[in-house]
Amino acid sequence: MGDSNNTDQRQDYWSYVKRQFKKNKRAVISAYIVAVMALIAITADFLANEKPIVCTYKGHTYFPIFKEYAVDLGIAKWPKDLLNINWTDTKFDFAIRPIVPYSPTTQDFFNSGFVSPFAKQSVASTRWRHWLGTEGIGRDILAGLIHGTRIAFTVGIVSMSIASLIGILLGSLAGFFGDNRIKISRASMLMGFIFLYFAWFYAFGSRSYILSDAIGKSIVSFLGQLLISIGIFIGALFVGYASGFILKIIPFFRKKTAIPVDIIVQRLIEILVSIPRLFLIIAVIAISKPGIMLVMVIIGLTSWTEIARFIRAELLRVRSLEYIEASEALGYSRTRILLKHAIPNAISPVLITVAFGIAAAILIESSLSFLGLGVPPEIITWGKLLSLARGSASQLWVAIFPGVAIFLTVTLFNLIGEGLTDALDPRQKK
Amino acid sequence: MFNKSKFIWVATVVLIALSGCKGNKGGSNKVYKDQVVIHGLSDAKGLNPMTTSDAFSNSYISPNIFQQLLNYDHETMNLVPVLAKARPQLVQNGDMAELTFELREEAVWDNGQPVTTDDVLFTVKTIFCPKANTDNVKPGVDFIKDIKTYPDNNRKITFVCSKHIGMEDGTGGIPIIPEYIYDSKKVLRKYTIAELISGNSKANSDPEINEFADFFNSEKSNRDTTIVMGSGAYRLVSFETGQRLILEKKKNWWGDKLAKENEYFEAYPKRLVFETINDFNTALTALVDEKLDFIYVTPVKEYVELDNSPKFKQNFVKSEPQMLAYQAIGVNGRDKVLTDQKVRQALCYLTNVDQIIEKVLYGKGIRTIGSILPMKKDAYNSGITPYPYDVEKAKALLAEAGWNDSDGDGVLDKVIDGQKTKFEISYSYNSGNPLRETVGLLIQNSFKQAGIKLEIKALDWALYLDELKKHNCQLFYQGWVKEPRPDDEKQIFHTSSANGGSNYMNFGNAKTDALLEQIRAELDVTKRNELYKQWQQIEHDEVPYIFLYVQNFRNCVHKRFENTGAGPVYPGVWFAGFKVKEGYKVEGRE
Repeated sequence: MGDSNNTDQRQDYWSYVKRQFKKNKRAVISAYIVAVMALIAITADFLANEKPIVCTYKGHTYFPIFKEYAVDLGIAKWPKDLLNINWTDTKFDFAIRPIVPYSPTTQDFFNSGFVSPFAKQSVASTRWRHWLGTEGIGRDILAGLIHGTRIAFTVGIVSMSIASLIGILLGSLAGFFGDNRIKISRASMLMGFIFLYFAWFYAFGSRSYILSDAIGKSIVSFLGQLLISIGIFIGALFVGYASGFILKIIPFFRKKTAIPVDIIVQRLIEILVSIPRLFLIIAVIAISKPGIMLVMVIIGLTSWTEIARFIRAELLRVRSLEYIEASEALGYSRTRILLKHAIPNAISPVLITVAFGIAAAILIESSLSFLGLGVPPEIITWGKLLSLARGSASQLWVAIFPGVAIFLTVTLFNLIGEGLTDALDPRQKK
Repeated sequence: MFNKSKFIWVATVVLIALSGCKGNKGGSNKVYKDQVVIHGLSDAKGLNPMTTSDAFSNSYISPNIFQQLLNYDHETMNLVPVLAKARPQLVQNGDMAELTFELREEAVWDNGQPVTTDDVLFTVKTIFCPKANTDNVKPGVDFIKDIKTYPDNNRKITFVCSKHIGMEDGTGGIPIIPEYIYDSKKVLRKYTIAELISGNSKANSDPEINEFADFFNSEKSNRDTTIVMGSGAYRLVSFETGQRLILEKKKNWWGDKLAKENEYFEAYPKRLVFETINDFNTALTALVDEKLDFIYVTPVKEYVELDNSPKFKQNFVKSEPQMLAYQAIGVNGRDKVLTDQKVRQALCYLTNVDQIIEKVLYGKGIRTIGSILPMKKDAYNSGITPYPYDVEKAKALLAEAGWNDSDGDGVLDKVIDGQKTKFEISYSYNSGNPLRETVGLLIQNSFKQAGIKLEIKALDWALYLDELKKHNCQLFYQGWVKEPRPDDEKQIFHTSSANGGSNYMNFGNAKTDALLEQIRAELDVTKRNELYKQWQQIEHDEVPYIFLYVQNFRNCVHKRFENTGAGPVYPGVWFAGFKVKEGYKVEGRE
């Protein structure tokens, strides 16, 4: 098949992009630092934790951190001896503790009340020092920073994945099919319209209480219910579409008309862009249970517009290229052309938006935490650390470290985005 | 491009600017204005003492303009006679009682007319006047049934009350306002006090009464300098919204010659200025710059950190009397997880109150075992030891109550109504209150050790109150401000207050209700104190609240003042009594 040729070409293209990207020193260094931060985010539990990595207690050897993963997954139980013990004060026979022997939630009462990193700390030994100081109730700033990295990266990646899915789907539909390339008969159109009302009613109208209860319960249950609703909606529309054949007896209804996908998507984007995002997020958070998952989903659901615009523009260009025409001539189905040939060749600019988007998402999450919204009080994020420093200028360390972390991360992702822009821009070819 | 000459230029400017900042020495060579500047976080809501429910207006400002028959000495909490000659004579008569007051002969209004019983009678009538916004005053005097006046003596007045422990404080605590200003047409004289109390239908539809009520509720009666006048030492001279409110000392005030009597006749500063600054960072900056003379600092950390400022230490002293208020964590006793008394006691053992006082209040507070505060020594039950922090004891109590961790996930569970229930409860507070959030984090941490999972919920103020009223909160933070008068706990702990009232804990049964009713009517102090002690034992055992602490005031006063005696009565000091010490220069004084 002609596919092999295609892959070669693609490999060639990507290796070219890599070469171009490597020419941009700043972006490359940023990418390396981000990789290190990602590693910190993944291994946060082993870097800062009140539980030992391995310990012997009352004659048994345990791996508490792994144990905790297992308990969280529901495949293990805590042994009686270790249930709810105070990990920091317990004297183990033997223990290897993480580099920072504190969890972000550990309250060290002997060092509470904003102890400076340089002040004398009442700790057993240097091993237990709070290297970046503590906040009001003795929580370790460094532990908070390390676990904050995880939250920042998770927020960035999860929210942008959601945004990419929606953005690529809608943007490619709009770009590839335009306003007049999806045609259906007037009969199906009419029935579709009629059934649109039913679809809306059964999917969202009659289930509105279920949905709003689910928002109050948790974001996962809400997403589940939302999927069911969307399923009902699509199902009902399909029934409407299919039932169009009865009307096809009448010649007038046999005539085909186009669905203006492009216009619909464009207006949708404009509506979403015109709503100030932060206010929308704050409004949604006000009516639902706080949780980091909710924050990620909302950021994802509101930041797909840029991606959709990019991919639409790209597909407008791609769809008039020869190879698309050739594959159409070969009789491939449109869906196949779109998924296998058009989107893969148009996807590269999306990477740029995603890189910038991650930076924006991290910033939004920090702003929300700073305002005390979105995450429950016991979860420490960078923004939360910043807000702890509010109201007193004398505890600089509480503000400086998370501030630097936020600034650095956002800058790094922006630099990577810039590097990608240069590498992917065909006019830059030298 | 880096510009060298520009850099040098900027650096020079910065250096000059830095070297120019020398702190002023303050103290002896500075000339101070003859005034006390007091910080307010927001404007006074209004200066009509009968219709305003705002504590700032009623405790900071109004007592300097209007006087009561009796008032509390800020330091000792004792009732002292102000417009009255002495404390009232009490005559008991079955379940009714009569209190007779005599007014001071010297007392006059600004027009030179004496203060008579007509004014007292008029003032009480305004409370019961239909359509007047006096709902905040009414509950405090709902025992007044009638008033007797004496035609031959216009300075003698008798209140007829149904017996209640708050009678003397309630009747003596009404700020008396002049009839000739507020009711020049003498409209209220058409109706007797008994008619108004019983809700006479004629008054309800009387257009003249409506007109009077409209004026009485209006902005004019609350802020107009020609209306806001009383028998006190100060007169309102200006009220700028969002800026400041200024009171000026009257010339030849009638009370000056009585200055030895009690603090309410002491009025030394020429002006009292109430400066509105609605943000503490700004207010504390103004304070250190000597733009304020008095402030109550809400945020504890900022208050403690003032000590790091040399300028502050040079010019100010901190004043920290105990507050007449307590803070506690409410426990919803009807919640299926919390209905067991042993469980509620276990939560007390898990609450490390000493640590909370240390971490949250920086040690500026003391424990209380119940709603009767330690400063009321005779009524306080010192025989009760507060719950110590004891995780093992708590675990034992929880096990007795049937809570075990059957699935080994670290959270206790129990079968309730055939359903396996986990011990997961919530703690609610009003969002934007860091102190309350910190308390939540601290108890969350200690509850975890016993296998209790606590979720901390910050709710918007309106929503918080709504959820409390619906009993949707399991644990919640509350603070109650009390009064020096004998404690009447009915409003908070009686079962009748559980629906829509302040009994958010859903507390009480027939027995506790009967005890509260008994306390309300017991006029014998010794017997009443015995009942109070019983009540505190019930509170201790039943745990409607996990009682935390009584805070100290966090007041700062300028060093140039003496006679700044401080005590539990809000706001903790009597501003008009502030005297400038020897050695400080004051404008217009030798």
